Amino acid sequence: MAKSSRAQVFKSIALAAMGVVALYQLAWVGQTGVRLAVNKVWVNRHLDAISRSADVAYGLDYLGYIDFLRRQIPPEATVVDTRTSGLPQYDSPNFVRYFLFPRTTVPLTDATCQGDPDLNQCIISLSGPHTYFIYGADFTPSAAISGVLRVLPFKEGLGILAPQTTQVTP
Amino acid sequence: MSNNLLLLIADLLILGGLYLLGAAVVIAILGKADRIALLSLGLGVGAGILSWSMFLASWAGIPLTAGTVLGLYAVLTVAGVILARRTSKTEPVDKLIMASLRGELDSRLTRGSWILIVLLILAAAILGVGLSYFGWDDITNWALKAYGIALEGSIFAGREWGAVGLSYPMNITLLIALFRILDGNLLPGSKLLYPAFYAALLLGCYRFWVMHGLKRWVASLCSLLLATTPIIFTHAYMGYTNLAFTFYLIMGLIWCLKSMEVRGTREALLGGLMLAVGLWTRPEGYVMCIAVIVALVLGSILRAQASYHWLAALIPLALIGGSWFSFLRMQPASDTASYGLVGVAWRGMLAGQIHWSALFTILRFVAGQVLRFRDWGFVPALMGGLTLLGFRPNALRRDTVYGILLFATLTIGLALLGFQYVVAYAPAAPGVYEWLSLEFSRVGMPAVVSLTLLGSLSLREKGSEPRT
Repeated sequence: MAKSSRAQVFKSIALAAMGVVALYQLAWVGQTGVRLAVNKVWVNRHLDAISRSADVAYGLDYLGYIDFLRRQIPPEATVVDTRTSGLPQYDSPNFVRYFLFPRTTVPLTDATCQGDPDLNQCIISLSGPHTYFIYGADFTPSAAISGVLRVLPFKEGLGILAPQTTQVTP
Repeated sequence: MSNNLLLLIADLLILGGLYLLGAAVVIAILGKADRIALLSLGLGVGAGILSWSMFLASWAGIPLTAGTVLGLYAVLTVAGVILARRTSKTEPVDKLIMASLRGELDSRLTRGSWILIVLLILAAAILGVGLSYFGWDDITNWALKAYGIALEGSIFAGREWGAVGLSYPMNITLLIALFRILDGNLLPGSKLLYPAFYAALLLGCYRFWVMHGLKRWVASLCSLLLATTPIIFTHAYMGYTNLAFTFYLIMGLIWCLKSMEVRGTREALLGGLMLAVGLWTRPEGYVMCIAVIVALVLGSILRAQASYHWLAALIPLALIGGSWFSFLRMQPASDTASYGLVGVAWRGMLAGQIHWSALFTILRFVAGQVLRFRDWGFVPALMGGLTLLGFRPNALRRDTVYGILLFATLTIGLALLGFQYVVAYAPAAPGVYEWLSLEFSRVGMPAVVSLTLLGSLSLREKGSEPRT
């Protein structure tokens, strides 16, 4: 009898603890969820899925950058990522590729330009009527590039090198 | 009607279609199934079978287009429904669970817990779709690869699109591709899969607890505890595959356990199918499946009268696992790096090369994780405490379910630690600590859910035997 009542007490304490823990956890996940729902889901409700991804992943500046790229680069274009920002969200080929889908995105690697030429020369050699280059703060377009490609700066050293025939979208 | 509403309807139809296929297959396997079993298993089974069939079709050279995918779905569903009609028995609903569920519906605690759980599921669905894909891995490993496969109509596009080549199992990838192929995944509707797996896991665990002697309100409270575990809730709206994998592994364990209790071939087949789809969902799936099988073997040995229909459970594992590993063997070595690592580590250990510092780092990290509220809440501490306080050595022999769950929690935990340890043998991997910081909390989900299943058994009604 005593054993059974001890077991009952143990169970009651355990259940009370579970109830308190569940409610505490509920409050914690609830406030996290509400914060996300208000600051991201509601605020971004007019954006498309890719833009919402960009804002949630890396914030408003990143969203601005991705929107800039998607406005300026047509869907059928090939995008060469020069990987010159030093930050993974701009330099990771797969990450950038998701945001620019369905554009064909290729990373600029050591193997892209044989003979280790200067990056400006390498870019000029790869340029074409449907090829766009995205660059970061570690790269400064030379005067020679400006003659071949149109420089479309974004901000903080980021930008696009577009074919000269490109119509710039405001 | 707004475009988004139309897309939502299309996405819900896709989910409904997957559920229909899965429910037909579950009935075909079990002969009869209660509504909670169908609700917990339907979507996961349908999703796994369709994605595996898409994989086989694409491997055979059939392009993945809307036409071929719908054709494949139609063939599978018609076959499933015909089989279900042939095998279904006259009792479609498990009388026990439904009758007692009705009786307990008046309980305010049961109803209150489930209202909160449903609100959490809805919140996860809104967050999932509203936030879209946003984590590093869900973008680079899963969504992008799926979009590439949908664009090119072939699984082989996965080699070029997204990270990790073709080395990761493709269940979730092909499900995202399915949404992309059928309606563009513009919402993105594929993010509804994650709250669906969350709901299915909670229902499956709830059903297990009720069938094993917990009162309805206690089982509901346990489900609420699991639902509010921070990392589990986060993964209900995040695009990672760990929650889906946890669902498959835990349901596989539960149905294999059931087959041991009732000595049922059908239950073993269903359990094996869930484990096999788990293997088809995450790269660590095969290690975890082995851990569950080891626990079942240990349970069989310890309790000599518990029979187990090994063949039935092994058939789906051989089919799905066999096809996946055969596919991998035909790919270049770079595509199978994540699997090769286990072999490298194994050879290293056989050669006497033990990384003691890595072992120490892992143990220290895990000890810290148990108390890390922002990932696990208080669940590991609470359930670990309940398990320790409720532990009775003689129950290992007497109680099949308790014994095997205990073994499974230990073997899954050890497999989890082992999977972290092999990183120490990787020639160009991050340090073990960095790897643990990135990976451990999410890959640890099956171990904690298994611990919760086990710890909650201490709350069974006195004298209650597993209801079969």
